[in-house]
Amino acid sequence: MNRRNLLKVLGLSAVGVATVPLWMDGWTSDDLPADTTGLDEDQKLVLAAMVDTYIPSGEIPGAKELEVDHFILAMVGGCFQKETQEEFLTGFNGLHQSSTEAYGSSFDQLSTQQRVELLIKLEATEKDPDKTINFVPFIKDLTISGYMSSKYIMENHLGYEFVPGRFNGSFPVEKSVYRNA
Amino acid sequence: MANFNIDAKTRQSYDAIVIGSGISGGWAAKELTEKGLKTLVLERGKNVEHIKDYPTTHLRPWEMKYRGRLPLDVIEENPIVSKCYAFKDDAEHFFVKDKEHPYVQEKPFDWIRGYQVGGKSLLWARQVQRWSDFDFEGPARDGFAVDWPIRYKDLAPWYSYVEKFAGVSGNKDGLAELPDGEFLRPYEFTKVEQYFKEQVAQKYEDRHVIIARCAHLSEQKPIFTEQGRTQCQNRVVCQRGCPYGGYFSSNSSTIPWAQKTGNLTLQADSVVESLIYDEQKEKVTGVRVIDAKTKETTEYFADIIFVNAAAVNTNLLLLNSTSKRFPNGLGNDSGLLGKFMAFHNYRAKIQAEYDGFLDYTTDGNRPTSGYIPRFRNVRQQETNFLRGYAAGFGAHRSTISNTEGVGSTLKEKLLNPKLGPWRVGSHMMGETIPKETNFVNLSKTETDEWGMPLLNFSVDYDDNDEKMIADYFEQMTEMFESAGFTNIRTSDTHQAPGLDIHEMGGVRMGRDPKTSLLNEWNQMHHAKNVFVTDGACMTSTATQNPSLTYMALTARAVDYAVKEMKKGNL
Repeated sequence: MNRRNLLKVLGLSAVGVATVPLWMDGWTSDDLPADTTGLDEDQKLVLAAMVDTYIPSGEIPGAKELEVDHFILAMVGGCFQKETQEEFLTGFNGLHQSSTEAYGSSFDQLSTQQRVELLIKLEATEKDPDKTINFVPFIKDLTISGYMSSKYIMENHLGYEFVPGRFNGSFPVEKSVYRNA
Repeated sequence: MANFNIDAKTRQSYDAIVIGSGISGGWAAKELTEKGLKTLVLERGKNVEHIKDYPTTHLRPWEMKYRGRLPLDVIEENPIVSKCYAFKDDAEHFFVKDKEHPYVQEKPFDWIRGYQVGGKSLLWARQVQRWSDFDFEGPARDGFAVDWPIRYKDLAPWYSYVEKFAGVSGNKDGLAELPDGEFLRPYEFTKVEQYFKEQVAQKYEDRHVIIARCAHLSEQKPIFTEQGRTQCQNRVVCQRGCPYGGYFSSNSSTIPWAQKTGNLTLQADSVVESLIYDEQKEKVTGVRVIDAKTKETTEYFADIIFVNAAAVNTNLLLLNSTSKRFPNGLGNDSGLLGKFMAFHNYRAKIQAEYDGFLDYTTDGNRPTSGYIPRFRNVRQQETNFLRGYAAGFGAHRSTISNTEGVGSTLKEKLLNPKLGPWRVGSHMMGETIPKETNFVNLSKTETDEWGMPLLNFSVDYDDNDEKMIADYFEQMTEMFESAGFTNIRTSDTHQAPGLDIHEMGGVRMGRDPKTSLLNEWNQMHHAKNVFVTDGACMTSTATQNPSLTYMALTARAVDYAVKEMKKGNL
């Protein structure tokens, strides 16, 4: 049974989506490879705050609820070169410095408004050609790819079907999930 | 008693031995066992049982370790196979890793291999276009290689025979250059593919856009039910192995079929070291096998040997099968074994966009694409290069990913994806000319873990290939422009030979033992009970994906071999 049908059975309205516990999706971050990045606990809070700022919670779960921060740690640990992993770690120091200079406290302690402002500013200014990554845009890209490839979003909002059993070459856009085009 | 059994080798005899269990070896096994021959199939890799050994087949993207990406250490350890489009997290276990099986590259060659029961039939792109006489007559007409000893009429009934069993989806297009087959219903064009087909038909009498014939069960028939296969479910994750048997592989089709006869012995982890030539009997009597794990050697004997080790490995095996009679490799009196290797030129691509039909998109998935059969030099020589190219063609709606902003504005954009223009693309599949200077041979100094000499590649493109690429860009650009496609970009990947995974030749068919290794029945001129029916037998390459032709040649050769055996001629 898919989540939507389950919601109907439970008599929940669409508004209730965000309050339905995620265990109903059957995917947890425990399925990801273990974190090998060496990020400390405080920095993990900052990472969680970053993904939460980029894609906040609402009627539809945000990136933090869908554990995208765990996905980022898995990807950085497994799929990127050592230099990038080091720049990823030092990036947290840079963000901390920017955050305390601008607002006097750590990124995860800022208000939502302050976090948004800071990320917009840093995204526009971080353009170091000598680095393999620019920290803030890098986290943003991974947040988006982790969110968009999550079970919840793929199944409930992107029309993902593993076993479509059909191909229609002339399909009207108005009937597609991309009808907003 | 200690030395009583000096020869510790177990002697075992069969009616037939098949070396290799890939797409052609699987067919040899099916045909031989169905005809009642006790058959031993030797596979150098591990066993892969249909469904049971497809570990990733049910994984959704979020269940893959890195959402389908390969970890960096795997990519760094495998610079060659990582270039292959299908070498991803969901199928990497079906590919040979670079370090496990090294080879020598006198000239760069990306050798992509699948060592397991089923071979590369698990991984193939499942495209099955027939050859026509315009292809078989190529070498004779244009004066390269040697004349094929067969023509389309010789193979046509065998194409039909294998298509009915394997299951081929396609449309009856009525084209002389790409003969129709025994088709299950075709997959649909997308809106813009259909439009392009019409545009091309209006402008060019001799150019056609069709839906590519593919080895997928687009509909169910009793023969597929009997094999335990069901209709393709359009998942398009074929390289993982299909639990429905929706596409043809040795694992889903020919091997279980052969097993049901009770005549098959399938032995994995068995590296064939050489074919044994008996100087007294003046014939090949069997094969010498190294156990891949224990390295122990065993000899097996049979009346008929089918060599289906995959094109290049078949060359290696025959070159390594030396005897007093054949000091340069089995059946190699001509000295041509390993020479006249060829492949398909897959370097060229073209992309564009189209802004029409924006009310339409596609729904579901399609396991094939559009196809443009060869239109250059088909009926006569008309360009400054020999032969020509076929082309893949596809058109799909793009999605626009707007990732601007932070917070709820970003979230809103991500959750409401928008469709962009149609993305149109094509890739070239060029015929290359087999030449004596394109060859494989054995390293004189280096051996692998099993004591087999390493194979050396000296295969390259030539001027004809470069001219063909230029012509493909020119012709396709013109066709795209006249259809109103925009933002046309051509690209030459400059990839080494090999990545097309269509390496062919080295043990070519021909009429004359002085200039070929095999006769018109894929039978070795000088070792009559040995048959080679994989890519090694190919005299020329044409432009079509070759697997279907290997299947048809195999079924035809088995039919001949068994008749000859019964007549006492082998």
